[in-house]
Amino acid sequence: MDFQLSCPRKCPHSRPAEKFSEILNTSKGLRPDPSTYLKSEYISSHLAKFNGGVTKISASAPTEVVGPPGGTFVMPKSLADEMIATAGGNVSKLEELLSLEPGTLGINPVRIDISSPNGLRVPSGNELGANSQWLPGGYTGGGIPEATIDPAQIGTYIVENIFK
Amino acid sequence: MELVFSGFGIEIIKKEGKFFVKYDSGEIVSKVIEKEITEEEAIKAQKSEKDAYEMLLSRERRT
Repeated sequence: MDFQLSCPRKCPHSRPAEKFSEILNTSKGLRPDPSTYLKSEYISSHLAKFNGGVTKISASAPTEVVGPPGGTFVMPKSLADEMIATAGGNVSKLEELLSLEPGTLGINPVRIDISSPNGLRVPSGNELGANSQWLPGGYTGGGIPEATIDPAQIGTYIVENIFK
Repeated sequence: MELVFSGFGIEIIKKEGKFFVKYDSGEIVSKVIEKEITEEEAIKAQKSEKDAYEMLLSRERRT
């Protein structure tokens, strides 16, 4: 599937790998805004992937605001639909597609769909959810397109069991 | 257990005299994180979302 083939290093960034190394070597909280190293056309094209809404996945349903202060990572809803369909009811397969450790999703994972997210943007790497695997450019190491949104308030998201 | 604060995407809880913060990890596949914080950090985090972010970032760095 193409989401596994979209290596972030092959994306049409406007800056060389050296710039990305510099960003990765910058402490979280101090990393530059992506608009300073990505072309505006690239940013627009990337964010257009999220026009149909965004999705997060969790082992359990949220009870409060979704996402920590500073914003949360999301994937395109259309891609979540595709991955869940490909997994065919198999949680382990979904974990594999998401490049997760076995058991991460538990036995009854949920999807959190946000149809009208606030603050959709290319991740800067300053997000609390930006771990050591984070890469500049809006793709996970496994090639999944990602964006950041403002924390989603109760009433702005829908939670459903992934496998019914 | 006492809920001290809920807002800005965090919950601050007091258990046996100690303060803890709970929040969504913020990854695409998220999980709930709970960490012990100081009283000063608990006070700062209640001021604004920016303060809450800065407190969590600071707390993350000393993990």
